[in-house]
Amino acid sequence: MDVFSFLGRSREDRTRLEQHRLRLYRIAYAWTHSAALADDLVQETLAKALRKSGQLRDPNAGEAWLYSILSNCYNDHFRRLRVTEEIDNNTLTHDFTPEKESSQQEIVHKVRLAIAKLSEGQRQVVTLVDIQGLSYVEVAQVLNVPIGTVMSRLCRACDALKGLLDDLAPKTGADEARIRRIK
Amino acid sequence: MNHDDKFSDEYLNAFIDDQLTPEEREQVYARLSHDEALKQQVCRLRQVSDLVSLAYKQVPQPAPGLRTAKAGKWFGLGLAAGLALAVSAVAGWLLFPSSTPNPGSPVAQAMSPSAAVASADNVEKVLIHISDGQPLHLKNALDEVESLMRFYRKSNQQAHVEVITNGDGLNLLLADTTAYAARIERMQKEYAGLTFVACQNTIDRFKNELGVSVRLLPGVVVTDSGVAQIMRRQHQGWAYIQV
Amino acid sequence: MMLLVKRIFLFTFVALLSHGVVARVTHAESREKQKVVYHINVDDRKVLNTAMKTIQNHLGAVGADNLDLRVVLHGNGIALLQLAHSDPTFQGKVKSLKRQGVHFIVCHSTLAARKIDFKKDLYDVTEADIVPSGVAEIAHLQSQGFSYVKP
Repeated sequence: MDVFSFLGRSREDRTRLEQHRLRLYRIAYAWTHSAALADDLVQETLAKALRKSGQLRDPNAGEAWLYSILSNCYNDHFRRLRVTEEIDNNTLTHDFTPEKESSQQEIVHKVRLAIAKLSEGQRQVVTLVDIQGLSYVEVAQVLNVPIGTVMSRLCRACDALKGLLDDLAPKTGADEARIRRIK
Repeated sequence: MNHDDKFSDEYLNAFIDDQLTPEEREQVYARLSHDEALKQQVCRLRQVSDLVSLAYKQVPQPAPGLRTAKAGKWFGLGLAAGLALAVSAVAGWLLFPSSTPNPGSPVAQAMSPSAAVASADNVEKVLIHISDGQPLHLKNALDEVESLMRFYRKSNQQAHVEVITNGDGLNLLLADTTAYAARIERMQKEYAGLTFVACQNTIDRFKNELGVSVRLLPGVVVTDSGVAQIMRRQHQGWAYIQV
Repeated sequence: MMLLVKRIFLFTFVALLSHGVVARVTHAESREKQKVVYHINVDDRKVLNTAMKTIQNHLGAVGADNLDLRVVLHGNGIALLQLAHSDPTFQGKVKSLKRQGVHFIVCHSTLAARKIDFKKDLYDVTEADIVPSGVAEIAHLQSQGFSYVKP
């Protein structure tokens, strides 16, 4: 069923659209670490998707297609940013401030910092796979790269992020033991 | 695959991400049962994956692009409402996502950046950027802004003009030290389409590095980051002028 | 902050030249002129000289025939044409740029506020070069697809 065919008029479709928006937002935020930018990107993505929805043929391809649009909007936006703000490939705009207390929040903060340090391509791949659960084939389509590139970027991202595990080890010691015991 | 071959990290990632065929998966499971080193490898990869997922389980919601420093001045409310109406119902729906906070501020919401908003016909949209705080510079800048507003009024041209201050330019809007409080108040009253904007990053810097507690003039709007707001506006097709 | 902003515009300018703008122009089928508006509102002689050098470089890089380059002068920037009026070296530079198609535009508000007579005090300005508001003109040009450069 084509989710966008009703232009959000019925309540179920508005709910579905909102769910899409939330999922898109989560990824856009992971890519930019800026709530404002992420919001802009998602608005633009949904607007384009709604305009194009007539062309959407395979209803099951809905979700990956949306991330394709998001990826293009993201590239457009950052291409412009690069010209006027001298942002290098790794730098993200930011509006998260390190929260005090809660070790959980400390972990979240450290992981986000590590993700911010990844290259754009690695960050996009690892977030699409680990947060959104897209298949490698879907990610390849979304980012318009060969599947081999998806796998190698993922690998390099994981290598870079493994250092986190050592950094967080004392706190996640209990979790680590628990995971090891499964299967 | 040869029993003695090591699985590459790529292969193992594919295993964790459920991208292998059932046969390939079986092989990995078979090896896992007696290969401690492999188990650890898989474990670490799974942990990384879990961490990434955890880090974005909860994400901060977007604040509205602009929020008023003081209540009481709904500048451009009529204009903003008109803008919202001029847009199609679908795009209009996109303007007010249910999760946007600060519901008590319809102006802020309506002015929230959205690429879905088609520009209302024939409204000039100009961003004036002030980052130099020298007194003479500020005076010239205000002269330019007023001259611009007068020109638009004379030619019956509807205009949104946003004066965005960051860096030393913020001095223009500091209630305690600016020389232009009265002038700015007059300009705000006289020109409905004119908005003065202060950069939160600069406000924070003044506070943290200079120990200056910032009190803004009435009616000044605060944006998260001056530079980000400039990007957003340019992205939306606003003209950009640095004075 | 000022330095960063200056760097931004230098960067923008360089990016303009190198990012597909020059490439676009070298395409045989492209007949579209590149549109740029330079904004000058300071009277610092060094800045004015640098600006004119930058403009000349721009013309050289893209080709005068491919460029619709306008210089909007307002506020203190009016000094550029006052200097050209009194200083022969300066005048020579302005003349040369004009011959390559550069269009100098003058803000009427500025003339009125400073009581400047464009016929007597400025170099080679006619009524056609005067706009009611320099800033409004810059905004208008941007809406017409002109890129903005602040040297």
